[in-house]
Amino acid sequence: MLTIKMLGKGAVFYDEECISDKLSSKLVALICLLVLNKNRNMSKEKIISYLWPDSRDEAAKSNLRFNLWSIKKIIPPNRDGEDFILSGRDYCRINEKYPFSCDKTMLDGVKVSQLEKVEELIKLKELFKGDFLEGLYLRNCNDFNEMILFERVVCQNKQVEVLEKVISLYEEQEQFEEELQVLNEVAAIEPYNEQFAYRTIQIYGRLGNRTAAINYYKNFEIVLRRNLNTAPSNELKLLYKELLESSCSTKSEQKNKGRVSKRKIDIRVDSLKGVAYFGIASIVAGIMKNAEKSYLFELDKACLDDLSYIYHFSKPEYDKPASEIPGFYGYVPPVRITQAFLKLMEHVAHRYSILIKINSFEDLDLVSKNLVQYLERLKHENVIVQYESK
Amino acid sequence: MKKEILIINGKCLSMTNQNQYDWLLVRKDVIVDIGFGEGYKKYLNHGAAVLDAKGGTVLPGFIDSHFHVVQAAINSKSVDLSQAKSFDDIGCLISEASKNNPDKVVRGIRLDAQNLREGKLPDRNVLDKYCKEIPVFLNTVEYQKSALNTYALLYYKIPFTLEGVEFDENQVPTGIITHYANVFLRESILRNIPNSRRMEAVKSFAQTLIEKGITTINAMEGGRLYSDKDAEFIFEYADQFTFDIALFYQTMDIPKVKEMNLKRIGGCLYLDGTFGARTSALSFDYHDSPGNRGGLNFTQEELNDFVLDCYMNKLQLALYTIGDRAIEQALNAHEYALDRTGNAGLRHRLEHVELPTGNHIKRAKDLGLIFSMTPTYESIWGGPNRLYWDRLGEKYQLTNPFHEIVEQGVVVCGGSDCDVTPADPLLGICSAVNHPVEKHRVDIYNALKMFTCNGAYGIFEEDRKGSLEEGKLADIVILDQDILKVKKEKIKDIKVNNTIKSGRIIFNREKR
Repeated sequence: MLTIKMLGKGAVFYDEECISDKLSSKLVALICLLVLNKNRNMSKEKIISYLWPDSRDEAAKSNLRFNLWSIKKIIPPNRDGEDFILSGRDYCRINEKYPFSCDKTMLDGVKVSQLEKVEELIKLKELFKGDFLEGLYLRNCNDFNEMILFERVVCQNKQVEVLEKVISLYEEQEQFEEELQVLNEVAAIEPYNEQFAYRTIQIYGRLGNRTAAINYYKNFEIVLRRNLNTAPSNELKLLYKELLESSCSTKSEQKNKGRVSKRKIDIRVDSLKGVAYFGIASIVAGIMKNAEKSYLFELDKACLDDLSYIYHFSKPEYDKPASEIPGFYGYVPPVRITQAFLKLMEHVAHRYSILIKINSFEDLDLVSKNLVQYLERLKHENVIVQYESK
Repeated sequence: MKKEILIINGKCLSMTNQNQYDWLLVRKDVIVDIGFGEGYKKYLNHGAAVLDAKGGTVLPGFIDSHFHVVQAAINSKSVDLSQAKSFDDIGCLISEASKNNPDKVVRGIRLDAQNLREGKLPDRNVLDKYCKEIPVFLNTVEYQKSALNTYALLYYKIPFTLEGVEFDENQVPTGIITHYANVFLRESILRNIPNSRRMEAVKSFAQTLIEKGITTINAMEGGRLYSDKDAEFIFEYADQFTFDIALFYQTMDIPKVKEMNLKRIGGCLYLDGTFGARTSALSFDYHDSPGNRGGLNFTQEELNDFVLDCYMNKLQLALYTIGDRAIEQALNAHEYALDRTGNAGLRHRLEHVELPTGNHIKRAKDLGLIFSMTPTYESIWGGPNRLYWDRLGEKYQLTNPFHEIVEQGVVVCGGSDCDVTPADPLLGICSAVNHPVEKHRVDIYNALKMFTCNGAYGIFEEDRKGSLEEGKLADIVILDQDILKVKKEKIKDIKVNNTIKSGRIIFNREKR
């Protein structure tokens, strides 16, 4: 199967093997030109005007003949023995019966506005590996170079269109984390777009990641000021102000809570009666293993320090044994560990739905027993405790 | 190399008092003695290298307080299009550049459509006629627009979806890039310049500075129209040059500056624009653009917040102000921040300050602000029928009132704003002394202070630099004439004979 890539550096594959190194720039250009005009005959005169505009008539024709012959030699015929390119006396064209795929023609054949499935759009999105025919410039071939320019504009516009559509679908489906990822991609292309910035900050807020929302605004403000010497719009400033004024459980977040589908964390708790904190430590371990680290480490350092007394976890500064962490006390009173644990649960429950399965409640150590019961009494909607035997 | 340098027959201006010493002795990197008459003779047998100043003035090494060193250095390798009057002129210059460096991008600067017979910027088709073998990337005077040939349009990653890409009737880019797209393009091009090229450019440009007696610069780097990579480059490599560099990172990112452990922030943090583009914020209409008073880039509230943050973080802050409205805004913000924090003594600076009123000067004095000014502006733009006159009409007489500022006791540092004006302190001194408006002129001594002791004060280095005293760093410049005796208007023609940096002779005109 022949595959032609025009997005990013132009490349040709045959049966998944790259054969680009056998092709000169002019050959790649000729193939691309014919593929872009795949449904029609292209006059040789026109091709020559694109690729050998300065050559004398005979020399140009000879060049074209040679290049067509080279393609014939490099790209094998199809099963029926037919060539990829059909060449007549005055024209050439792509053989419609020759199977091949091309990212650009795939893109051209799609109307983004008509696509309604995220999967289709994501597939399309993956095609954008770079600019159209990146790195290709043919000396003295003004029309061809101009064609590249034109197609680059077309492709870039389409890329933004695709990304915008994906964002709107994710928004409709409330897939906020995925939407965030695409927003980051589009921000690289449109770094000063306030609409995207607004949406990104909003999503961080909804996901309960207030710190990330604030940081995003701050960075955006710095970029605007540095590059454009402007400030964010009043709408964006207002959103930021709201963020600053809100606590982790602001009204707006409460209101939106229902809309966010929280990720689940299932934790199986082992018990060991004689070892203090053993049960709690396995809950902390389960959280550390399953929750996003950057989110966890937003907890204040003192709280993490206290928790590290019962469970060792990795963050650059926590890589050392707890006793070697500067400012770490050799002994942490139970009340501090208890408070740190409850803080951790509160923090994690903002983003995740936690299911704690206790293997054997009877065998739990005393502190853990008390804490689990206390957790139950709090009746946090995102923390569920299940007992396999009580 | 000898460990001692004895400078004799000089007119040594210590810049701490009005005395003129005759000689001074440098040991290692420090001035160890300075005196009158034949007192130096006791050192003749020490094996010191003797430098005969031949009656020329000996001064502390010059400090240029406003200098865009990386971009000036890179620009020095670019094609200067300021004199181009037509597309043909541009064509000749870029063709020549491409012939001289056949494999390198042709980068042109200071292109001004108003100077061109065609009255517009050349598009890619025009540029292709003169050069299509390599990318051509031309910048207008204030970097607000770019003109590219087809090769450059394909060579650089251009964000065609951004606002500011000009298209022809076939929806193909013309090569003229403005607004957001221009900012994005420029930023990405500058970011992709490898540090090795920055190093090469700055090292070769350094010779220009040394020959002009400059031993310390305040490098205004990063930020809008420049590149943060410039600031990061200076931060990393400042100690590898023959002159000292005090970095002013032109950013509002206070945490970043704190993280880098810098003591200061800002430089060209543009509160307003330029007279050239009629964007400086004035309290009256532009003479040649009725109804236009320029504009401010910040609201008072935004600026207050930022200045307050700087006070609270104890960062020395430098703000770019040109028009009187911008100066007013800066002073308001400083008054607001000082009132709330009481953090005085940070020696905050206003850069350029071209149109301050008497009231502004008085308030600046009360706030302890420093004015970092560019006297050479008066040489190139001051006086009748020049830029200030074009833009301000009769109010051209209000620009850069050095005398009044100095009289009020505000410390004035002198800078070149290189490469807007040449890196040449003596030209700056000459410009301050010969201000086109007589009442704004300062005497030579005060003009010298701008580029020596005041410059040191502006970066908290007066204990080490800016004067010729025992124990001070041996940054010294020897002129070929006695500056106090030269006709005032001839000061700019004085040559530097020797430049000594930290006790090392780094420039000797005779051995050049």
